[in-house]
Amino acid sequence: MSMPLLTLEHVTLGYPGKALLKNLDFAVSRGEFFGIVGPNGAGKSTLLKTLLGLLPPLAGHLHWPEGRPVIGYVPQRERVDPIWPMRVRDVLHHTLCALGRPHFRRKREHASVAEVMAATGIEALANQTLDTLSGGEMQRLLLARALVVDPAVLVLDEPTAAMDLVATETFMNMISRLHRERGISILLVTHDLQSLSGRADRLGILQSGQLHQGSPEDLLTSESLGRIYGQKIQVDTLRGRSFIHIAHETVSGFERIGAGGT
Amino acid sequence: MIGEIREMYGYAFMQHALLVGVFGGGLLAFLGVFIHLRRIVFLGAALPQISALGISIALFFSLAPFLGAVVGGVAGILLLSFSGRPGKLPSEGWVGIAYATGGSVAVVLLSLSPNPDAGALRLFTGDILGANRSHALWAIGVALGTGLLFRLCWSKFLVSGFDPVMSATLGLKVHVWNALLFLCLGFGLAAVMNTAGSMLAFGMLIGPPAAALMLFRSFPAVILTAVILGTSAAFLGLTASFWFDLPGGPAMATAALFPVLPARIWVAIRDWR
Repeated sequence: MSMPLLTLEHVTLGYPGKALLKNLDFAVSRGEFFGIVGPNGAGKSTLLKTLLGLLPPLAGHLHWPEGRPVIGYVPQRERVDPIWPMRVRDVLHHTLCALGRPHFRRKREHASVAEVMAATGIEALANQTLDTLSGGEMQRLLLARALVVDPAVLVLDEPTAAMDLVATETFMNMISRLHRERGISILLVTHDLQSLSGRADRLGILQSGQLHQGSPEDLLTSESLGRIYGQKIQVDTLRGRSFIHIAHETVSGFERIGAGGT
Repeated sequence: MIGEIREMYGYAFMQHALLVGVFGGGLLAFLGVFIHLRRIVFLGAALPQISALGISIALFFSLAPFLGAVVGGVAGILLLSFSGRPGKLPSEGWVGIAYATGGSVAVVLLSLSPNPDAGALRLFTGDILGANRSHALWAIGVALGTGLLFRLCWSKFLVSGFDPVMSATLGLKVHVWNALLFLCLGFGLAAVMNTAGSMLAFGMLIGPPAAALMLFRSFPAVILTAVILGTSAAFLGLTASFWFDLPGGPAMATAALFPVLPARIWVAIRDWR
């Protein structure tokens, strides 16, 4: 990996009088896929807001060594209101126009919109309005919207929440492909540790106010996860992907981590 | 009939009333689309009340009511938009408090003002036939100014309202675009409130955009329909008020709200088919 795109040094995050995460230290390299996992209330959203520049850190330094790049943000699809009477194409077009970049001439604008629609597989939906899109289609539109601004880094907030297994796999494969082919840095926050397995270059697990970092190979083991979560965890590996289960004390067998938070 | 309408609008006071109704109503119908889409309809109800409070304060102190409408409308918008959630009371709670306070204090102040009956009429049912040349020019100026601002910055208004977090991430000054939208709304309300009353202001903000949003799923069609319905309602309401000797503001407000019913029926038929 090359030089850091983003560094956090001894950063404390939260709201005045209520620090949620203390003394965070981590860096994200240019072109890296960094997955952040944590249960509800772990501080994922607070971390995300801080990374997006919407919430200043309470202490410490958040630094973009090469200057703040263009960030493509993909929210959870519930954050976008489908009552707005816009077509898929309009959402992308207006996002570009709102930036008011003089070099985006009309022809180039159309080309950018067409290109991201093709990359995210939503060309056929171009003239559909938001209220007619399925959950997966809406999430792909939000990805296309993030891509249309030509970002150096993509920040995704639980993009596969409430998606079924097939839609989740399709979406995550698309993210992996974009990361591989375009070299975009990816910061993906999720509940679902398993969906990052085999895709992320590095993981951060938020648990009890701490960020446990490491490579998937190091972190996705029964020992590491057991230590972090304080529970008996089983990790099975198949074709380079890890399948993670948490031992349930009252129910026989195992549950997949992240189905609704750990 | 055409001749009678021509004769009716030959009077200067009718021309002024029509200009205030058409430009003010069209403007509020246009801005009302954003009120609906941002799901802040209750704010749309509270703002005319706060504007009414501004007018009643002006009347109480024997100042120009128009000044009170402008100051009240803009101050109310700033107060409700940027007050946050003190005490963790939901923002809707504060909007409700503003609605109730605006209306009740306005009535109390009017009862203490030199000419309480005329003031009450002006505030709630309006006295659009009392509109003069400066009222008309103000309505035209605010409508054209707002139209020009939105024409130049259409995508910014759209994107910052549609997804504020993503917009802020891209460096758009969301609070600036929100403030501009609300300022246009404040000036628009002042233009209508001072002569046509709170009923018409709220009717124009809510009725035409509601019908347009039910009928169409394309932004240009929604905007165009809302503005056409708003301006038509102003013309039809004013004409009816002259013909049948009805109060102007409520007649125009009724005309503005009427399209909601056929639009709802049309949607039911469309969904059924």
